[in-house]
Amino acid sequence: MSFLTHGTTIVDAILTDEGRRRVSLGNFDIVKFSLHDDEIVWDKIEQLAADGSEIGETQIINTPVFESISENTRALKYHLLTMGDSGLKHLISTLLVTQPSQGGQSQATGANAGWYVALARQSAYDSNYSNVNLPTGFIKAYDKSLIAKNSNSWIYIDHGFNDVADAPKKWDQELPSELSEGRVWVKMDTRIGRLVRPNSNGVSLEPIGLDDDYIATYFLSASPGSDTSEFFENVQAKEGASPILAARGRRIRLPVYASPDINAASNVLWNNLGGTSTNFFNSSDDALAIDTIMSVEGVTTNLNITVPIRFVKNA
Amino acid sequence: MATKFSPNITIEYAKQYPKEALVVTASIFSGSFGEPAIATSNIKDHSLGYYQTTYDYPHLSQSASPLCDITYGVRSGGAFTTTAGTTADPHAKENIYNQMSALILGYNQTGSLRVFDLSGSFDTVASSVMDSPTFFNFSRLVMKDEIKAGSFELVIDEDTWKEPMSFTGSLITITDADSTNLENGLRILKTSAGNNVGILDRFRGIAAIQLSSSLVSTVFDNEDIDFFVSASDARSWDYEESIENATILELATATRHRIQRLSLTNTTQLNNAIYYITAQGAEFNYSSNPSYVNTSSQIRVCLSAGTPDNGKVAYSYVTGIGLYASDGELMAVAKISKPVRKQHGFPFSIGVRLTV
Repeated sequence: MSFLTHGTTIVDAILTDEGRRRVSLGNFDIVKFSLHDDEIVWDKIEQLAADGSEIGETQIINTPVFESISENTRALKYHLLTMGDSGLKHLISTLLVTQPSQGGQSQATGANAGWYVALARQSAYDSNYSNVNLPTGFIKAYDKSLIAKNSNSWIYIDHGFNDVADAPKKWDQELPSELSEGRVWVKMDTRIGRLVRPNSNGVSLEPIGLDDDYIATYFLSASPGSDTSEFFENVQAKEGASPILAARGRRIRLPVYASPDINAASNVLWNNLGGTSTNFFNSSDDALAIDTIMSVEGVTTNLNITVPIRFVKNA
Repeated sequence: MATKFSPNITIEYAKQYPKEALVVTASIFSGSFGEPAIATSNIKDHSLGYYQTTYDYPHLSQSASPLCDITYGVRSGGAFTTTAGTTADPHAKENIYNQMSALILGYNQTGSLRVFDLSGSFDTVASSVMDSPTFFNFSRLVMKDEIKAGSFELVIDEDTWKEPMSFTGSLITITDADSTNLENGLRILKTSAGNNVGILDRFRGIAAIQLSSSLVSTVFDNEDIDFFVSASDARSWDYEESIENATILELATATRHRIQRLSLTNTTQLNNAIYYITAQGAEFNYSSNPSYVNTSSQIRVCLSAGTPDNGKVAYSYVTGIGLYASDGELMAVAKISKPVRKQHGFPFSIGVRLTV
């Protein structure tokens, strides 16, 4: 009886919709791979058995795994990372900067709590807010020139060590370079929202890619000489200047405006992608609303955040 | 240097030939769903009468799939003088013969069509020439990329016509098992007694069978044996009369009712690219999963009872693999049925098979 050889495990892959599209175009190629742990909820690692013993890793191993799906923007979510330092005990946290005192933009409150509300049409502002203050978390997204110049309308994201007691670097120290993210991908449905260059005269940022589901990918780099470095800024050198409590990386600032596709009189796209929100404006007038997300992901680190944005106009 | 990708991929190309055995019984050919005249039939006559299609289910159903077409050909200048083809085309059988011959056999050096020949020599008109072949044209669903050699088997009742056929005591099996390979994927079809009765084109999924001479007793040539009968029309034709006077659709119906079973094994050619990926020991040991760190940015797997433990080294678990184009777009995705641990010092290798 001979020994069984150690064969390599082989798993079956499926083409994504973008992969199928490229096969049809004749420019299909594969040059790199990534590993993912989308199904794992790592909180479980800290769970204890009834007798107090650690059972966390068993919980991880027993996690059921989903089948593959072909939608390329949703098929895989969380990358595994390669870091130069094998002894890290901290990675970074990613937080929205929602305190104006920290230079951030508040999210909306009440029925819109947790959202940034973007007015997609000037008529929504004129008929509802021209004589009153714009509610907290509301953005005049209908005018990209205005958005570009008004830093109070931007969305801010900080990253770093959010640990006071055990952080390897304190707030007044530099975040280790391999954890300081200077390049991010921003993904958003281009039919709904787009990015405009900060402090410009309303110059839109061109995405580096647009997939078959209208998801535009923007690439922002803080590197010197990059034409997207204006999307980054240094956090004020003050202890309470950021929701991140210890060492911080560069702040990301994102001016978002309503796409011309929805900044239009037609309701077709609004009805296809959203719906009516009753008594939305001043608790009396209905709105058409499209809920969407803007995802921001670091190119090399675990910077990862999903920003919910609700675009509205008069119904 | 932190990264989320690795170019450490080697590619191996391979082919697979999965096979599938199919059996179509008399209940499909002439049983369960009735004849074309009724709406729920699984038999559909071609609108111009050139062939008849058998479906696996009533053909008007969206879930119905075609299995095979049956049609007839008559060689011009052969033993039969046909007067009927389709309603509009009296030369339909000759045209079908020529069409099949041109497609399967081609033209000879003089520019003439080669002829179907039971001997496997298609260039001369001899006594073994098939003058009135029945053609079974299998759908892609049935034949896939090709019919496996030696797998075709047709069991047909040679008894005189009756409705329904009895399928007892008078069955002839026609097969390419233990047969000879001819040119270009063609194989001779034989009865179980060893008599040559037709030609199988494995790659086109077409069986040409000469029923008149195919059967040991040549019963269809016997004028006392009716090949095709339509009681309502008071017709009682032997094989020769049927070939000359019946339409293609009538002949297809007669043939269909004689089939007790048809079986074959199809073959599909799958082209695989296997991407062997290797994550080195120092790679992919951390995760960007937001739950990988707690609200204090601490890596959860490096904690003991909620506080950092210097004795623990970060590790991760793999559940998914992404394959990317040079511009970073996700081209293919694979999942692992059970999370696999990835930790420092231990490489992780796996093959990702992409089938086209």
